[in-house]
Amino acid sequence: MNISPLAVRRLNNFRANKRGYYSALVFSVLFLISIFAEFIANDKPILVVFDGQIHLPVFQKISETYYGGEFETEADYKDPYVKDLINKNGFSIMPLIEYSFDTINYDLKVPSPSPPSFENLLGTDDQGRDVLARLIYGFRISVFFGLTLTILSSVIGILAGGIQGFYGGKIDLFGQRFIEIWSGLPVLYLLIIISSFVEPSFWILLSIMLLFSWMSLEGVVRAEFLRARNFEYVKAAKALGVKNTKLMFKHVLPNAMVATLTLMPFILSGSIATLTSLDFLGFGLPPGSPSLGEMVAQGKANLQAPWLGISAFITLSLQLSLLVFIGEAVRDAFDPRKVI
Amino acid sequence: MKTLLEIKNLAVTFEFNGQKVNAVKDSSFKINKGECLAIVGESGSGKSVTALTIMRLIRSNSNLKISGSANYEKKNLLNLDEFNLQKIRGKKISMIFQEPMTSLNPLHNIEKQITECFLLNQKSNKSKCIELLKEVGIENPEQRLSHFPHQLSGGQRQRVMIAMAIANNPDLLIADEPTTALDVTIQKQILDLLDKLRKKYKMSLLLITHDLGIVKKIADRVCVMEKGIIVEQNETSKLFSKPKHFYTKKLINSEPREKKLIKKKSDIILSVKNLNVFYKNTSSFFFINKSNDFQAVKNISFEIAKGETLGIVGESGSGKSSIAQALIKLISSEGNFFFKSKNISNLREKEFRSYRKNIQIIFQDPFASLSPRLTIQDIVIEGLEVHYKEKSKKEMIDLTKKIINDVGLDPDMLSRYPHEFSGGQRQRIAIARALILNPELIILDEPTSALDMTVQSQIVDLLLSLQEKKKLTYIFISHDLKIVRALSDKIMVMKSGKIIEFEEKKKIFSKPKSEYTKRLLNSAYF
Repeated sequence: MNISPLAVRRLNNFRANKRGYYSALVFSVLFLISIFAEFIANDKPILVVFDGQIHLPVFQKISETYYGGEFETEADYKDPYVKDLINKNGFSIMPLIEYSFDTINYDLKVPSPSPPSFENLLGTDDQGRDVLARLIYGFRISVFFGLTLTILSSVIGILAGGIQGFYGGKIDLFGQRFIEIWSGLPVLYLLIIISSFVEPSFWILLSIMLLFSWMSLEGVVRAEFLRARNFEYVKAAKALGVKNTKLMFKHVLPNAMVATLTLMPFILSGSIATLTSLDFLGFGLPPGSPSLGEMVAQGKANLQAPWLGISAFITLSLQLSLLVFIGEAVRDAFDPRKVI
Repeated sequence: MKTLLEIKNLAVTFEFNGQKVNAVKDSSFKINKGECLAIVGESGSGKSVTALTIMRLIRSNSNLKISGSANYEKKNLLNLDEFNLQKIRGKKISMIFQEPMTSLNPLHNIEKQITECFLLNQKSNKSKCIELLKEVGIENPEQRLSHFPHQLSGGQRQRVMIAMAIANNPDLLIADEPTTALDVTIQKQILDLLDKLRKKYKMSLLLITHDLGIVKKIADRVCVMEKGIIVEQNETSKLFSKPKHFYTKKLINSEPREKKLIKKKSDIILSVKNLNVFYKNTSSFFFINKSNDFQAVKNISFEIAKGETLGIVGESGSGKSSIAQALIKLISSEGNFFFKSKNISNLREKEFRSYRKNIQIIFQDPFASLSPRLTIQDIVIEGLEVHYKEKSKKEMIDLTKKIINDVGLDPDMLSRYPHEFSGGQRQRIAIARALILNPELIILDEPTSALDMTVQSQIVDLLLSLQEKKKLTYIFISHDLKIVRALSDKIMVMKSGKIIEFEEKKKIFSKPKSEYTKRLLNSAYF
């Protein structure tokens, strides 16, 4: 692969920031684990060998009748009756945590929320669902949400800022006035109003947030483009007859990229925090979905069960601080004056 | 004569990513009381680092090692503690820098900046301030006191810097390229001022410069530096008459060769009629007030024949660059210009694009005119991709190799990035980028002013040989009369957007008509 010396230098700078480098490692391990959440925390076995055939219940629905049971519905693998049926003719391997985010533990010895035990390592919430399983799924959904929102709002922000900055003049003037008005709209009210019409799903929430989050990058990119369009190498390319779109993407954008990439980790942590706070207020993801904000809200409602609040707090603060540390390292990596 | 400052075995080493760079190597020299010592050399030769080390503005740390000694009044400046150093800095030894805009604080007025020098050392005194400003030749010093740096011109700012530097009657004034950022006519005034002050206050002057013309004029002794080593030091007259070291000879003889005059009359390639350039002053969005517009170029007409070089000279702000940018439509203009008798002034961008390959421009700063994120290959090939889309990728690459060879670079360098090249090499790349389109007219906007003397003459040689080989026509814009003289057939002298004089080269240099041209010629040291 052809790596430019500049990229090598940046990678070295990134590594030189030890805290950020290890944060990035830890974060990628955590994220990798949470991607495979279905194989780690689930109420279905990872693997079933029945009648000499191999099944993956994570991906396929197998009805109870297949194993010789009575119901046509999907087999409940936690039911001792089903377990017996499978063990008669084969075997199954359960994941590490035998609960999914929505599995309710009906065999609790104490009323829910129940404290941590060997069965539920971090206890259960007020509906008897395993906290650890919910944390793993919640971590995943918030990172996914954050990443998608960051990427989409960066694309829109860079395009809008690029056009404004590059052409300047009237386009820039009207664009800026539009943004001033647009950023004055109360996002939270809008979300509350919309969530009273439709049940906010992941994608609806994402698109509403996207309507407003693109503006955070727009300003920076606009400023970089405004500066760079007067650089001599941009003028030289223009004198060669290069078209405007190519000028923007080939000559100006790479220079605006530094400012953009530096800001991105902070947008990511910002959008995760926003999702969490919406969930906390009850305007976020639909009820039942694993979300860190909902868990914080439960912790607040059940102060007698501190494991709820504490585990949600630790997960959230770990996630956000890791992202901020990574962001700092990225900023170091792109700082041309930084000397190792 | 008494020795004021003696530098012995000074060495400065930077360490960067495990690589050691010897900025200054084992240099020894001394400055006598009341004398003017000049340090000359190309950029990167360690001149400025030497000055900064004497002032202790750079200090040893993990990446930087300084060794040797700088003895001033029996004290070694290099290992003086901060407290004792403050007593010398600004009081006994002071310094002026190259860029007068950035070395003055934009948020403080002139009085505050000058009195700051007293506050450190004596009692504040307004009348002393005015006296100092008078001394450095600023008119109406009483009013100027309340002005801010942006209200002054470049020359005035440098005068204020000098006033600050001499406020405490220093023994030694270090001037690090004090006139490089200034216009020729102002350059002369500032140098005269420095020389006058030196004699009046009996200070010593350490002048750091790359301009041999200045050195010849005011220095008593000269040190020539190359790659961190002082290769020769001698009295000025002896050094110029009998240079010993090879490098000194190269510096002194780095005069560019002159263009052979063409006798044959050829076709007019570009004619400009009544060109005007306005810069809009948009104080109000709704009411456009034309009278507020700044007119950079006023009613200019000229013609150039094929193979000719038109030199345009003038101070900064005279509208030279505006003409260049208007002709290739980087800025909008009024008036007509004809390329091969076709009026191209009113063409839209789309129609004009096909003419762009015929008219190319080369900019002043080769560090700014090459995109730092593209390889040389990508930079040079770009024009072909726009204008010769029908060519195959292989043909294009072969062409870039050929053109890179033509400008005197190795085709193996094509995969590298601009930051790996020196200023001269970068300018060659910029020339290659323009040449690959086979243009007939090239506009050169101060192509050599960011380069060192020896490199300058190489670039001029290259431009001349390319012109002969490819029958190119040049519009050469510069404030450096020496280079304009070498390249041009005709010369146009400009001032505040107007043509002052437009004549054959010989006539301009032998019989300048206007007062302004005479002054311009006078202030250029040959």
